This record gives sequence, structure tokens and C-alpha cells, in this order.
Amino acid sequence: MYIGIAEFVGAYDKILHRCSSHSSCQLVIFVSCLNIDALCASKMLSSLFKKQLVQSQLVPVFGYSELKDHYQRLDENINSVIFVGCGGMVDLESFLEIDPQENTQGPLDEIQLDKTDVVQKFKKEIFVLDCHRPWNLDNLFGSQCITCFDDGTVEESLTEQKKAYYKLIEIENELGDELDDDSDSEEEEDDRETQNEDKDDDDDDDDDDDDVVLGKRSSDELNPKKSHKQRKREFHNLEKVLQEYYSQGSTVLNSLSVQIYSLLSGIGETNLDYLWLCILGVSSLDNSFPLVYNRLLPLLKDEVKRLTPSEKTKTPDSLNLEIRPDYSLFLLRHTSLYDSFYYSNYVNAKLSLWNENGKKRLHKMFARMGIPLSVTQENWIYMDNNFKRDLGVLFDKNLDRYGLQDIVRDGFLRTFGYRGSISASEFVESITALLEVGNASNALENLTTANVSQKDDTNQGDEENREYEEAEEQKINRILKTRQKKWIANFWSSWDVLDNNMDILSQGIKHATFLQRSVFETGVAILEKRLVKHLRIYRLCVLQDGPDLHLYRNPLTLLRLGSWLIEYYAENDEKQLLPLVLATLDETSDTYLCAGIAPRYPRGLDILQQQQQKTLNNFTVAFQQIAAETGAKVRIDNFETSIIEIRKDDLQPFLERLTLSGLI
Amino acid sequence: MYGDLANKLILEAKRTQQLSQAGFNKQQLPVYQDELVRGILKEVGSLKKNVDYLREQQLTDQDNKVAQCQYVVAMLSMERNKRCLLAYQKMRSEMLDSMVWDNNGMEFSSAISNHPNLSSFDSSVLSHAEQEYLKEYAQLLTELKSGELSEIDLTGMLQPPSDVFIDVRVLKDAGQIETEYGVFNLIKDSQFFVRQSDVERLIQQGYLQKI
Repeated sequence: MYIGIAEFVGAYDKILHRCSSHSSCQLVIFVSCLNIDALCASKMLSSLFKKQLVQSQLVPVFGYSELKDHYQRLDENINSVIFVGCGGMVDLESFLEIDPQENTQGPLDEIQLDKTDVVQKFKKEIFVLDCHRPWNLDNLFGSQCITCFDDGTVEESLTEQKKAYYKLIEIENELGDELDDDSDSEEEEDDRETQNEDKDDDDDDDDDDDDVVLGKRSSDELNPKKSHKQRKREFHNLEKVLQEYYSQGSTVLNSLSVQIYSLLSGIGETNLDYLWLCILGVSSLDNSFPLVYNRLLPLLKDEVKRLTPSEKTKTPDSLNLEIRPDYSLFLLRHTSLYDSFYYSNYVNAKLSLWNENGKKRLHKMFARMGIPLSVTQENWIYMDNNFKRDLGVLFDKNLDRYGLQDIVRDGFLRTFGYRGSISASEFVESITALLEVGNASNALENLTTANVSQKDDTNQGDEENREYEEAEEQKINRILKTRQKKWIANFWSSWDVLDNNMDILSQGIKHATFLQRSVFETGVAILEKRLVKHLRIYRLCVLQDGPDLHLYRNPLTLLRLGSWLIEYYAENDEKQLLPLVLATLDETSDTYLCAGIAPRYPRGLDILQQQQQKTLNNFTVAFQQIAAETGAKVRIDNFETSIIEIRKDDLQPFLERLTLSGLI
Repeated sequence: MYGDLANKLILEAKRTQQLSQAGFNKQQLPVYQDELVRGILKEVGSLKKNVDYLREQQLTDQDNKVAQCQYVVAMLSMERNKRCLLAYQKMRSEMLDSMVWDNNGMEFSSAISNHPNLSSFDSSVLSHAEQEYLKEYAQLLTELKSGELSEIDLTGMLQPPSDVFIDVRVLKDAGQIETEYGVFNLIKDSQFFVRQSDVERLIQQGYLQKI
């Protein structure tokens, strides 16, 4: 079942209705823990429910296996489950092993049913808030106890698929048993593992095979053989429609926070705090999905204008939100001007800062602007005020020459009274860093000493293992698990930051600077050593050593590096835009963390390209198929399905297969 | 000098107080300063001898101002030592009291009497008299609770709650926990928004942390 934006309020009321018992906790919210947009959205949701005094439990989860684990251990009381930022791409009913029969209320309640409408039909009802596309069609059209919050894409672009889906079910019901062989394959397709595309080419062969089967059976059947054959063909055609939908590649089309925000405006609860959360959620998408950001930006601006009081006086306790020019520089207000240029992905891409010429160009640029290098290297707070004031003019005059004119754009600035102010993009940087390393002040030292976490793991292991020896594989699993747990713990420090906890915020900014610095250094090393291989249809970069290798165990940090690289290539490779596969070795578990990153249009150009083509990430499908084909030991657990873990020895054949498969 | 040792004892008491205020060692007292206390008692003993001697002299020689002054000083030192000892002991006994209340009396006394080694509290830091005191105090509390006042939860919070509902974060994995009011599925690092009264006990037991 799916609902459009207009029906969000109805769904919300339904949840309230189901969960407003004061005696026990009946609502569970699962949040994807490495996703800032989901973080902001769930923060908004939970404070909304808090206002209604709905008891709830909020569980951050790392990946699919954990989600399933937690879901199945939910107790009887829980009658509503909300998935934020996850679950939209899998067939939840079969993934979570929900039995539709069991899930409906017993006959006793049926009498009440008439009175309370159909609201209480299911024991557990699932609400999915997920902006990853493609949708799983079973969730949308098939299941009754799953409600997907949709932003209108279903009505706009999925009518064909919808028809096909219903038709398929119809035929399936009609033909019943005979389709057993096929329905197997259909289930497969509906699972995350979409079928091999060759299947479509082999379709005719398939049909022939099926005909043989049919021929055997049709002697017992009443229906004439011919209509069967037609049906069969239709069935396959319809399957192909769905198949195409699933295999077109994945992307993020909207922001979760915006969805929640539209719910909020539906019930008239909008205020500045919610809007700020929403802006943060949207800003977090700027890095990897600039199209979404650019599309939503005007909406947000309007909201800010609407909600901000017009008076201009600045008082020490003002908590307002303004639209201000912002720069695509790295944490300008918290580092020096030079560093913010130097570590910015965007400037690096334009000026090739990683080599000497690039650096010279940067110096020359400052010279043109008339800002001495010694001044640029001062911390922003202590920099000469005259320069700061003129910066806008200086940028206007000089940046064109370097193709950097897009550095200045509109952004949002939040003032926290006397505690200072921060722009949305900076806040997002801080949250990202917190999600990556947590807020402990010694977190970075822990990371830099690389093996501390390992030691912790083994220590814990000793305690657990007093009585029995453990197989290698289990041990690795455990290491991975403790690491995931740590990331989940980091979720809460990011959560606390959203309460405008300035201490943690500045800690996060410190971490962000550190991480960006090491990403830059690793990136430079990659480019200098020419580690990125051009493989005709994609670029490949395998990191096997380096001082910061342990940092890239975290998917977010890996994506940070990936986006640094891909932005560089977007600007510097005139031939074509290629996706990137980035793999880093994790020695503790002997696996590679491998991310497929969709190609990106150079900034500025992307708006022009917007109408023509969306950039889709094809690796989601490709990884799954190839993993199934080669039998490689692959863990596809992340909610971003284009990030996988693969065993060290399996990487080579896996990549070879990827090159040859033609799936990308 | 007279009183130096007592001063040390007071410093020790002060340190203990600060430690407990800072949140360390909620369950733990520092070791009882046996030697120091004995030293002070010895000092008091010798002071007493002096005082006795001086008093005898006074009886014989009424107008000796010097002796009178000596007498007063010795008496005052003795008094001061006594006060210091009492202060130290009072501080410790108060902490013991609060520990008993925190640990809900009954469980505590049984933990000490049955398995002194297993309980988180190390009774070896207490002097013998203190151990006796602790046991009896716990007994008293148990009696109080099971007696007339059995219907009142005496160990509950004394401050009225500011909110009916609160945010709590789960600190330990504990699976499903049944409370009077419902079931809680405690998954580490998840957060609940629930009625405070439902989870108060779980917070006390250290499963949950109030945000």
C-alpha cells in the first residue's frame, strides 16, 4: 500500500490512534544509522510523537540483518513499526517473514472492528519512509499491512509498473499451479536479488521450456492450450516490465526530512526548529545527490522566509534562521581561508590542488585577490576584518577566472543566540564526522592508533571465550559486529547534536577537519600513484595500504573519499562520466569494503543536465547479480546497497566479472 | 604538634566527600583510616595524662596562671581531637546510610551477610564497628519497610518528577524486561520515550540512562 503526500496526515492520525495507549510502548521506530537525512527525519518524528505523549522506542540499525533480528524480537505489544531510511527496496513481508494471516487480528476483535473502522486490522502495521529508489513493488501494491510514504512518484511514473503488477497477480491466480516454476523466479525477482538480465534475452528459450511443461499438464486442464500460451507470453512481458524497473539502477529522489516536513505542515505544526532539522536533512544530500538539493532549495527558502520574523535587530538571545550566501568551501568559518579552499572537494576538482601546479594556481589566486598568504592561513575568527568584509566582492571579481564562480551560493545560517552561529552545510559536516568517529575527544587518537579497537575486540573476546575456542569466521563476524555497535553508539552523539549541543558540535567539527585532511592526503596519494584504473566502463581504485587505511572501514568515510575522487574526475575527464568502484582493505577481517559510486556531472552543469538524465547508481543491481553468479563471499548488508563487503580473495574475480557483465 | 593527625583525618574526610560528590565510587568508601584514628586516640591519651597532672598541680597551687593556661590548652586540644574524630565518623556513617537507602536495604544486608565477596561492595574498607552499624542499619530499614510503612515506596525519588514522560537511553542489552506496566525490549543503544514511573526502577538498576 502506498500513500501520497496528501494522505500523510491520515497515516499519522492512524499511528496516533493505534499507539496512544499510555500503559505500554506500542510504537517502534527503526532508523538507518549512517544516514543523516534519516537521522533528522526521525528526530522530527520522535519530537512530534513526544508532543502527543506517544510512548515509543527508537532503534538505530546498521544493516538488513540487524533490522531483521530486532524486528523479529519485538514483543506482542508493538502494533506499529516505522522504518526511516530503510526497507523501501526489499520485499518486507518476505524479508521479515511476516505471515499475513497471523498478522491480522483474531476473530475476537472483529466485533470491535466494525466500530473502529479498519484501523485495527493488523497486529503490526509497518510504515516505510524511504527515499531510496526503486521501490519494491510488493510493498507498494502487494501488501496490506505495509504503508509506504510516497512523494508522488508512484502516481507520476509508475502507472505502467502498477498495471503490470496487478495483471501479473491476476494471471498468477488464474494459472495457479502451472506457474509454480515461474512464480519461483518471480519471487526471486521480487527479492533484492534481481534476476540476471540475460534471462530477458533467453526469454524465447524459456518459453519453449515452459511450453513443454504446459503440454504435459494441459491434458488434465480444461482451458484450451492456446490461451495458456498467450497468457504465458503476457506473463513474461509483464515480468519484463517489472524487471526493467528494478534493474534501472538506484538513487535517492527526495529527502526524508522534507517528507516529514510536509506531514508537519499538513497538521500545522511547522516551526523554526523543525525547519532547521529539515534543512539539515536536505543539505546532507547535497554532497552525493546535488540534484535533489537543488530542487528542494527554493522550497526551503520560501519556508525560511515565511517563518522568520522580519525584524532585523540582532539580540543575544535570537535563535533565527537566515538565508545567507554560503560557500562550497570546507568549513570556512571554523578553519582558515586557505585550508577551506585547500580541502574543499570542489576547489580541488577545479584547480587540481593535489599537484604542485594546482597549489601555485591557488596561491596566485590569493595574490590576485590581494590577500596575503599569511592572512589566509589565520583562523577565520582572527582574520583581518577588512578582508572578511570585502570577501564577497573579491570573490565576485576574481573567481570567474578560475571557474570557481559557483563557490558562492545561497545557504542557511542558524544563530544560536550568544552561543554562536553555524551554517547548515557546516553543521552537516559536523554530524557526518560524528557519525563516523563519535564524540569522544580521544576518538581520533583511538583511530590513529589504528589497532585500539582491535585490541578492545580481542579483550572482549577473551572474556567471552573463556570456555571455548572460536572459529576464525565467527571472530571476524564479532569484530564487525562490535564495530557496527560503535557506529550505532555514534548515532546518539549525532542525535544529541541536533539538540544544539554546542560542545559536541565543535567536537564534530574538529573531527571533520581531521577526516577531510586525511581524505585529502589519501586522495593525493591515490592520484600520485595512479591507483585509479580506467576500465572502459568504470574506474577502479583498490586501496591496499596507506597510513589511514583503517579510517575507511566506515562506509561514510569511504564515501567521503569516493566523492572527493569522483568530483575530481567529473571536472578533469572530458571524455565521459564514469562511475567509480572504490575498495579498501580491512585487514582485521580480511575483507574489502567496496563501494560503487554513481558518476556525477560537474557542478553547475548538473542543473542543465537535470532534465535530460538522472544519474542512477547501477551498482546496486550489478553487485547483487554478480555476487549470485560468482558465488563470491559477499555481505550485502548496508542499506546503501551499492556498498558491500567482500572477502579478500574474491575481489579479483568479482571485479573481472563486473567488467565483463555489461551491467553498468 | 597536637592536632596534626586530626587535621589529616579531616582532610581525608573532605576528600571522601568530594569523591562521592564528583560521582566516583558511589558504591565505594575509601579505606577506614585505622592507623590515623589510633594515632589520634593515643594523642588524646597522652593529653589526658597531662591534664590529670596539671589538675593535681592546680589543687596545690591555686594562683599559678601558667599552669592554668597549660591546662586549658591541653583540654582544648583534646576537645578538638574528639570533634575531628566524631566528624570523620559522622561523615562515613552518613555515607553508609545513603548507601543502604540506595541499595534498597534488604538486598544489601543479605549481600553482605551471605556472600561478602560477591557483592560489589567491599566490606573490608570498613572498620569492625562500622560493619556492625551497617548491618543493623540495614536491618532497621528492612523492618521499617516491611512494617507499618510497607505500602509506601520509601526508596523512591524525593524530588517530584518534572515530566510524566521522559527520554531514556538503554545502556545494556537485557532482552525483554517485564515491568508492572508492560514489557520493555531493551536493545543496547536504543531510546525510549516512556512514562517515568514505569522505568524508574530500571534507571536505578543501571539499565537505562535518563536523557
